[in-house]
Amino acid sequence: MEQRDSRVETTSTSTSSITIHVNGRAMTVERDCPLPRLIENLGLDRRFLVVEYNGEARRREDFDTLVLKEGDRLELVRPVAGG
Amino acid sequence: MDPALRIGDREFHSRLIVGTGKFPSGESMRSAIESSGTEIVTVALRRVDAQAQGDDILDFIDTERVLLLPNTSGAQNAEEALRLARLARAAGMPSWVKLEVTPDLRYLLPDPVETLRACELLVADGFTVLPYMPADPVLAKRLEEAGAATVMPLGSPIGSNQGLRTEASLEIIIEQATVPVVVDAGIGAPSHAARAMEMGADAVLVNTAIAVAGDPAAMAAAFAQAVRAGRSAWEAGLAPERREAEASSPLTGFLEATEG
Amino acid sequence: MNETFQSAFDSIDFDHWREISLESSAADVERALRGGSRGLDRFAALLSPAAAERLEDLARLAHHITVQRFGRVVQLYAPLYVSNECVDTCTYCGFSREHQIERVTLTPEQVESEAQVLLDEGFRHLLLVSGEHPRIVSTGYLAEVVQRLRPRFASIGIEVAPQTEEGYRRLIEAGVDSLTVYQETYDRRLYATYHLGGRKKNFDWRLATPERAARAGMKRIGIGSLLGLADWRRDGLATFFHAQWLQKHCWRSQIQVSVPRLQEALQAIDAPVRVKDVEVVQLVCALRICLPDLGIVLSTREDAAFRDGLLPLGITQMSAGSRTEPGGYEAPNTDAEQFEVADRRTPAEVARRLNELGYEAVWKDWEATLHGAA
Repeated sequence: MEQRDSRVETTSTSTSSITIHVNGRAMTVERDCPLPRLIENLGLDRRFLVVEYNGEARRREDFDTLVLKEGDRLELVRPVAGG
Repeated sequence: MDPALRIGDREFHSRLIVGTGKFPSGESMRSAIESSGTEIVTVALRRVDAQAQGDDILDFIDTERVLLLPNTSGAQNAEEALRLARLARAAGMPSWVKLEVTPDLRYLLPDPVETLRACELLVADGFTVLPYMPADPVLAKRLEEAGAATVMPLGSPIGSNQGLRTEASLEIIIEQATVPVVVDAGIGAPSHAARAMEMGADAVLVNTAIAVAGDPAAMAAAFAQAVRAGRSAWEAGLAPERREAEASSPLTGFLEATEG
Repeated sequence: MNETFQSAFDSIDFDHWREISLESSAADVERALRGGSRGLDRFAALLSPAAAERLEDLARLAHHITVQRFGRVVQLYAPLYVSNECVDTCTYCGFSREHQIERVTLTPEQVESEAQVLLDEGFRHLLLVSGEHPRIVSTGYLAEVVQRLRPRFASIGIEVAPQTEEGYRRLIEAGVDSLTVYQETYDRRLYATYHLGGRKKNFDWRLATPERAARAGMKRIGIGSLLGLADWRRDGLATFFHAQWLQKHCWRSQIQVSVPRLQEALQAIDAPVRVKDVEVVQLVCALRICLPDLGIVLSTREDAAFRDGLLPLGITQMSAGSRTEPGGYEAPNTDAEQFEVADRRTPAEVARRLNELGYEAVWKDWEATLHGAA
């Protein structure tokens, strides 16, 4: 696992970063960070990945156009083993 | 040749649906799915965990050959079930869902009220709904009316491997159903699966009994044979236990007296 | 999933199934008796000439199932003819439009006094019968009649012109809980030769009547075919298929079948196909074996001895002391009967006979107040 991109984890309070929630955990990211980059930085790019963005399920095709903003709440979900 | 099993707008030749939980490894799951001959496998939906160790199950499922049937395990009510189903659809899986609302985490028994409510919401939202349900004949008819594509009554609690503890109710459900009946949950041995098929069930769903077996792939093959055997017996006209007719005086004697 | 019965019905070739029945082997019959076949396969085998050889075995199994499911209980009811007005032309019916008979429609008051005669004899289950006349025997007229009778009867059924779903909703609201509607014959071609005029010419409208009533919430729905209009096996197979479909799709209603046999109507037309006693017995046994929960209703078209014989084979309801002309209980007039009643015993005599045969005559079954009635 390569070293994660430090900008994503910065704790600086510069206006260049915003706070969002991903899978229930608070996280600061760079302002206007596009969703695909966040996913890539978190190493979560998988087949059948889906994002629930502020309560609404978003298909993979919609990821590129999605730009994160302050207070966004994301659930990154995918299929796992189950009966 | 056994006429295909029709669910929703698709046809299947295998009447064995396999769950993907509890397998020791991705590889053992893959070989079990293969030897089962199944065309439908169920999966759950969970938050992605970057640190998650172990195999990614989707690397072991040939989604060209088998239908990924997402379940809504974890949902405690109708709204949560709808939310999970929508996520599954957005993830690129077909808009099919194994509806599972199990607030009772000890026995994982399905909540009939929320299941019916969820079925209505899901059908309205365009889903092909396969509801896991208690073996209750009236609920089965209510789910049919709500548009369920099948009914999936339990044989006994999930993972209990106790077989068909609900046989009397299953018999009524099968007799009255106008949609396919899939016995799901509790099937612990190939003989249980065969028994369900002998009763006229259209399919069975098995997970634990295969996944925890010593040799999952071999067990899957055994279940496949049992399902086929049970189905053939049913089609060949298996008679239920002989209900002895009471010996009584001739009942049609009166016909001699009349013009016969 | 709102599949109609007609779509299922049109997909079945009942001439073919009649052939299958005629060709059934002794082995087919044995398997049918053991429950090794299902649906039309099983029923066809039980209606076969091969099964007729084993009528006693059919009878025993039918009796066993009946006692198991219903006990030794028979529900008694009385038909009450409210009108013999009719706009239809049916070749086999005494009320047919072209017959020059006195046309009578009872006023609500007259219906009440007729009903009083039946109440005095112990009846609590009533079947209101009339010809088809949208204007004179309107839904409104029927609703008013039912409304008046409702407080004193546990169950009020109707055997009148097919209604719309809305019409049935209105009648159920007024107090009706059961419907009888015979398709007469399920053979479309022959149906057209018997129904020459009026709304009854419409085969499909009549066929879908039970479904409309079920959607409106009708508790009990009775169907049947008039044996003798067509081949009894063919109509028996179709009646079975209809009853089985209704049990599955209209599961909130209790389904019943009657096996009325064509007798002499007012104008003595001889039945095109004379159905024998043994054939009626075989049909009742096959219905009971294949549909254990089915209600089977016996009308007074049959004579006393035959009715007593049929009783243990599956009968759950029978009429007694029937008059088939409007006002007939107070002023019997055999010239105006819809059909000739063969069993002239009084209700009390019928009840006594039932007890002799080890059966209990039930006069009042449903508790009307249980179902939100007045």
